Amino acid sequence: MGEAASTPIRVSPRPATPILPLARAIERLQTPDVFEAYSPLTGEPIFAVDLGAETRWPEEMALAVARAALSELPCPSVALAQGLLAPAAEALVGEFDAVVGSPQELELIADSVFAHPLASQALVQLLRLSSGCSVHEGLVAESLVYATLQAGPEFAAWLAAKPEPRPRPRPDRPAVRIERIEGRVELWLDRPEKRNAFSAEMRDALCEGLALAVMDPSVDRVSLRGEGPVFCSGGDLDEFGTLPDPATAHAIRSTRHPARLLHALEPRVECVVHGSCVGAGVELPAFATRVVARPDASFRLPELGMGLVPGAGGTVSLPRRIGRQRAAWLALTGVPIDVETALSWRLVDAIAE
Amino acid sequence: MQLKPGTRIKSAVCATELMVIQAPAGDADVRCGGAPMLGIGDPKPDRAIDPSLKAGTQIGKRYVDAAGTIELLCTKPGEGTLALGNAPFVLKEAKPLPASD
Repeated sequence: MGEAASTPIRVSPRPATPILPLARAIERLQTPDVFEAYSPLTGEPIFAVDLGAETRWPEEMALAVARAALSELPCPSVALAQGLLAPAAEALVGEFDAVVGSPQELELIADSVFAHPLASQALVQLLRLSSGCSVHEGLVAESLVYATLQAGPEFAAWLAAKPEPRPRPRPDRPAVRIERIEGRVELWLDRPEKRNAFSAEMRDALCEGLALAVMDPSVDRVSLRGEGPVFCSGGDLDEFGTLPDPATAHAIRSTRHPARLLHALEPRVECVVHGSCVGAGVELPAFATRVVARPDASFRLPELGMGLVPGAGGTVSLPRRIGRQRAAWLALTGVPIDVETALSWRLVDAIAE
Repeated sequence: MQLKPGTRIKSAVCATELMVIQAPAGDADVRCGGAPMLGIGDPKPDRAIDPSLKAGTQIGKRYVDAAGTIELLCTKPGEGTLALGNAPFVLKEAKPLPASD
C-alpha cells in the first residue's frame, strides 16, 4: 500500500491560495498596506475570502472601509460562498470581483491568476470601472486595457509559444454572407473551414453588413448566424501578434468595431449560436436583444490565458447580461459553460433545435 | 431624378434597391441595367434589362460616380450595372485597416 500513490500530487508549482476568514479579511482591508500586500508585484496576486466563516456583524465604519478597499484592490478578490451567508457576508458579497461555490472552483481561478497576474488585475479593474459606464465608454475602456496588455510580458510570452500560422488560401467569397428577405437581413459568418475565426476580414465584412442595417430603416430585423460546425471560434489566432503597435491597434478598434454597430442595432438584432462559441463568439452575440442557442452550444472566454482580456466588447456585453461577477468568473476560469448554464445565467434567452 | 441623402430608389429592370448616401442638389440621371432608376414606391414598367449592362450590384456595398459626388448604398442586390448616364459607378471599398490583435 503506497501511501504516496494515494496522496494527491499538486501539479502546479504555485503555493496554495491562502483563504482568509471574513472577519480577518475585513480587518486586513482596514490596513493601509493592503494594496501592497495584495498586488501581483509586491504580494499575493489574489484576495480570497471564505464568506462561510462565522462572523459577527462588523462596525458600520469598518464595513464601509472594507467595501471601498475591495473596489480598489489591485488584484482579483474572490469570495468563497458555500451555503447560507451570515448577514455581514451578505453585506459584502456584491463587492467581490468573483464568487465561487467550492474550493476547487477557487483553485481554478487561482491557477489563472498565478499564471497571468497582470491580465487578471487589469480584467477585474476594467469590469469594476465599466459597471458604471455607458456602452460606448465601456468599449473605449476595454480597448485601452487591451492595448496595455498587448504591450505586456504575458501576451509576449503567449505569442512566443504560439505555433507559426500555416499559409492558407484566401477563399474567393465574403467572410460574411449577407442575405435579405424583405425587411429582414441575415448575416452569416462564412468561414466554416476556419471555424469562423474572427479575422480582420470578418470584422470588416460584419461591419459592412451591420452598417447596412443601421443606415436602412426598412431593415426591421437582423439575424446573426454562423455557417458550419460552430458559430465562432474566437479571434483568428493566425493574426495574433500582427498588430502594428498597441496605440494604433486601439485606434483601429475605435474606428471600426462590430460591437458598436451591434449596440446601435440592439433592439433589432437576434443571434442564433451553435457549437463552441469562444471569445468574440460569446462577446458579440451578448449585444443582441435576443440570443437563441442550439443544444450543442458552449461558451468560453480564453483571453486571460493569452495575457489579454476579452476584446470584442465582452467586458461590456457580458456584465449587462450575466452581471459583473459571472463575467469575471468566465474570463478568470476560462472554463466553458454549457447551454443550460448559459440559459440559467441569461447569457442566452432560449434553447432551440 | 432628384437625389437626397436618405432617399431610397430602385431599378426599373432588376431587383436592385439603393439608398442615397450623398448627392449634390439638382437632377442626376442614375440608371441601372440601362434604365433610369425609380422611386422606391413607383410601379415597375414592363421593361427588359440591357444585356450589355449586367455587372450586378452587391448588398451592403457602396457605389460612387466617377466624380465622387454621388454615393449610393446597395440595400438589395440585383443584376444591372449602375451608371450616371452612360458612365458606370465604381465599387467603393472601405479603407483597409489591419488586424488589431
